[in-house]
Amino acid sequence: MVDRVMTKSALAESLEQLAATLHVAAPVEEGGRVMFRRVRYAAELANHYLPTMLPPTKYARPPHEELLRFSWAEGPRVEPVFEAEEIVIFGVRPCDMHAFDLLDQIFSEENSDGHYQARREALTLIGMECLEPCDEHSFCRSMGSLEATGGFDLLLSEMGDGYYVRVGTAKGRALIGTFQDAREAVYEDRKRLRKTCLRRESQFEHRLEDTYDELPRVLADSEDSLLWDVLGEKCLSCGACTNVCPTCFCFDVHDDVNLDLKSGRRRRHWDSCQLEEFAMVGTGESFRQPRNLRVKHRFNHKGRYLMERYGVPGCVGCGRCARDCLVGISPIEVFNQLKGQPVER
Amino acid sequence: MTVVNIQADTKLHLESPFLPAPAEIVRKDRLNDTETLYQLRLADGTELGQLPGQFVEVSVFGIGEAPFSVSSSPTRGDAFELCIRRVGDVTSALERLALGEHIGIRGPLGRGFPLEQMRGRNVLIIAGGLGIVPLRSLITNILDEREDFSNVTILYGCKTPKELLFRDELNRWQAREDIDFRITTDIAEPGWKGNVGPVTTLFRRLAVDPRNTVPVMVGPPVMFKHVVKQVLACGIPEDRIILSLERRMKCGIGECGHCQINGIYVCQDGPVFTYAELKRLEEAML
Ligand SMILES: Cc1cc2nc3c(=O)[nH]c(=O)nc-3n(C[C@H](O)[C@H](O)[C@H](O)COP(=O)(O)OP(=O)(O)OC[C@H]3O[C@@H](n4cnc5c(N)ncnc54)[C@H](O)[C@@H]3O)c2cc1C
Ligand code: SF4
Ligand code: SF4
Ligand code: FES
Repeated sequence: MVDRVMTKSALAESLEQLAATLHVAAPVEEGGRVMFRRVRYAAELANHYLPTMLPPTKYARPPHEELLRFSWAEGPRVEPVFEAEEIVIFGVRPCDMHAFDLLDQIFSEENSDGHYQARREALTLIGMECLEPCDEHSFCRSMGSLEATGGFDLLLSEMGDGYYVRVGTAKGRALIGTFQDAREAVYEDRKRLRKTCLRRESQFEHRLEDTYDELPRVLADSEDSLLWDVLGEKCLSCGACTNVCPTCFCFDVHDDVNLDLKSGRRRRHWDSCQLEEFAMVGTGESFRQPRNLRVKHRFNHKGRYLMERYGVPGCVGCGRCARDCLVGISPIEVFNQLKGQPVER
Repeated sequence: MTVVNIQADTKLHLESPFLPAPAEIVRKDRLNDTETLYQLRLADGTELGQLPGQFVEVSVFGIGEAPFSVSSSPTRGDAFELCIRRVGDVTSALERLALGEHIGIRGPLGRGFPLEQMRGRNVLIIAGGLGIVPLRSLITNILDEREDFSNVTILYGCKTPKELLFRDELNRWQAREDIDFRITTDIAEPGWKGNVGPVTTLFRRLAVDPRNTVPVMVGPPVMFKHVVKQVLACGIPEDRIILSLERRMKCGIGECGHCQINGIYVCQDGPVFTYAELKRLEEAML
């Protein structure tokens, strides 16, 4: 598919046109933090932004989601609910596109989860390449998620006062077709893009001692590490880290009865393995009661279990969990300490 | 199907893995203070098609969903049975339902007992407490196809004689010449003439042929610790020791994360495992 080039002002205009009729979500600064929300005007968009507070994957996997509606007014009736709104998400970072890929694999490929699929299919992702590192918490390069390898419909790379636009899907091609002044890219543009990418490589350092493919072994060798106890004492089990994580997907399921008492719905809600009740069973046993085991589970799930099960890393290195942890638990430090840096109590 | 605001031209064929099939309660037998045996039939007339050891997710709409082992054998026709202990919301709501009312069923789910690998061999079944519920499916299946199996030994332990489940069947099993069936209870009660002590005490007078015996055990975590030790001491290899685990489950299909033991999902990879698969997993608690 032919790449395009657009000026920033042309893109802003096209976005506003789109937003006049469609739900366009983009990073917006509010109260000092950047979050994805619906926009109408290009002026609302945040210019430089760290990964948003909540990841854009929230549009495919909302915090609360209806699964079934049922009623027993005239005999039992139950029907599935597939809810989806067409949303164009502008400014998705490469790490978050990798997170979409992981969720696609779990909810679409391993399972045919129509609730996820309906929402996901209704999303159009306009990616935005990262040309410089965001802050000290991110480690995308070590997790192999700096490069946007797929998942996007369109991918923008900033070049001077314009964007180089790569087209990833037929949906993306249809969308760019509606944009004004998106000229076809020529040799000179591609050369410029290559240079930009090269410059980027040198800007991003590897922050992990290992790359993601070595993490499963490092974690397997660390079953008995003292670090888990140290972290277990520190961690508050608040669950903030799992709430902001783009690759966390655990949920709980609850029924609600409507006011008529003859009908209701079943919904799933985000849940967190950091909470004690998460693995409790009927006999009262909790299989991951001590906090150190829960912290250990999270890092193993991110760095090892998903890799072993699905062949892809369970963490995209966005750094959100570290940014939002009240006691400063950071995956960069954890993974590096397991690798052999000294553990201090 | 409720579809809200999906583009009309979506080519996706959407399916919900959470949609249960209606099933009618055709029989309800109170077995004990807290356990009830439910016989159910799928409303569309199809068989459940379970393997012994598999489970279903049961919905009481408006209350919730919970996993239960299928307790009946696939050799016994189109109705199936669940034996359920009342412990909370779903299990209490089930008790209040009358014959002829409908519940929702998803499944059968998970990996059952390796029945095919057990044919032609000696089978040693060890049940602790509610562990008899899934094992009853296996035992009935084995007894219905008795000629396919070599020696069959069944050990069943409960806290008190009062808690023994399926008494009629226990009597019938006890009367059979072609199986060795033994019962024990942790605590004796007046009138109890059987063995007293944990299920491991039944091992003492047992001759186990390590080359040809498949031990299958289901019970509380403490039971596993002791019984595994004992069957290992008999010389049975780790990958022939079969056990079934219970964990919290919210989906049964490998999505919700609740049932995870380290990197494995009990709902999909289990609930039946070999000891070899679990022994290195810290969270298996064996
Ligand atoms: C594979 C499998 C097979 C099972 N087979 C049987 C069976 O044959 N018979 C039987 O009586 N029970 C069985 N159980 C246990 C049964 O699922 C729980 O007792 C049931 O979920 C409790 O539901 P509730 O709504 O009544 O309890 P709740 O009101 O939800 O809670 C009561 C207690 O149960 C715990 N609990 C909640 N949800 C679950 C859950 N999904 N799994 C385990 N504990 C939970 C809670 O932590 C609480 O302590 C099985 C569980 C599994 C995982
Ligand atoms: S955010 Fe920090 S304190 Fe809270 S659960 Fe996660 S690691 Fe623990
Ligand atoms: S674990 Fe932390 S760094 Fe990794 S994807 Fe989740 S929030 Fe981002
Ligand atoms: S029960 Fe949800 S992942 Fe196993």
